[in-house]
Amino acid sequence: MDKLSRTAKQDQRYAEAIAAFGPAMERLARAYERDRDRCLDLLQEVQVALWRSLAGFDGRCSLRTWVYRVAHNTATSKVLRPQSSAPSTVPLDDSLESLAAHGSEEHLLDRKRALERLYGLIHRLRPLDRQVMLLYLEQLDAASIAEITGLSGANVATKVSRIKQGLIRQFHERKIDVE
Amino acid sequence: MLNESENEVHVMWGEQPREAQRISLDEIHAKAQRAETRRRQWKTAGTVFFILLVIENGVEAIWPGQNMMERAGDILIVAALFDIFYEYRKYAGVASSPAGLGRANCVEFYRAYLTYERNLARQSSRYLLPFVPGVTLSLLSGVLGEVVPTARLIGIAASGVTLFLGIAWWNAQSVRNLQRELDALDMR
Repeated sequence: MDKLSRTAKQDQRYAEAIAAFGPAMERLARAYERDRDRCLDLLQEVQVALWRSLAGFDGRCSLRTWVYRVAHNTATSKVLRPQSSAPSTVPLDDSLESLAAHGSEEHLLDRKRALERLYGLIHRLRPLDRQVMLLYLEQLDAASIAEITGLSGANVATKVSRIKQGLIRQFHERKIDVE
Repeated sequence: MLNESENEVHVMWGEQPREAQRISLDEIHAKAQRAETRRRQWKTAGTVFFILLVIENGVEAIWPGQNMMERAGDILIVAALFDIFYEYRKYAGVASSPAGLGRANCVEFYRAYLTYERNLARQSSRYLLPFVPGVTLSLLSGVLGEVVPTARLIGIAASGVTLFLGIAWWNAQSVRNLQRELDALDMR
């Protein structure tokens, strides 16, 4: 296969990936960088990394798995750099506790504030916890999350269960407050 | 109730307004090209800088009339530079595989990063051992023969030792923290 047709195939796969996962990549960038400009930089970096990586896509996993791996690995490597604005991280359970503790102070349907709080929680998570949380929020099942992250199915199920309980407790408490 | 709240969270997450402008394929090509050019430029600049440093210290080491302390210092610095350059090239080789980002799952990728950082910190003595004494000897030889107060000579030597111990301590801390992270990762 000549270089031209290889690039055309790479472009086609990239277009497919962006059509299907573009919005998810934007949400992912927001979840890794709280500053707007840095977030846009990260998004572009992820997109370029994705395009470059697709030259080596061999179909051994689904395009979705590939896209999420590239996106998370690129974002993680950026967040891990010393000059990044990433704050210190905390365990998943501690974060969920703090989320629930503040939940009742806010209005039920104030999505903007709820999202801000959710992003605040995500920004503080350790890399793998953050990845599981984001993939759960993107509605991926436990098997897919396990394939992307490399965690065991049981481990993913435990983490997802904790995330669900933490998030739902917050939203449930808000509802009771308003009612 | 659980499903309802869960759905609510998913809807809220999925319906976030998009802010970023869509980038065209041409822009992606251009950015990828620029990134590749920048990477090559850094690699070239790093190599040139390394060669210049080696030449500068190498010439000083063999230049007639230099005292033994200066020669020893320069040779030690050259040895340290070669080790740093070797590690740098090894890292550049690993970091420049675009498809690796998609082939490695997140745990593998994170583990590789932590392992690399840990090994770099753990092997720091390989470049620290020659580099810090090398710089110290060079500094000391610079003031040798001059009328220099003993306190200043002691100060230079003490600074070298403190720098060496400080960096060694810092690296040992890093190794411990990274190993802790790796152990936690292996327990998953």
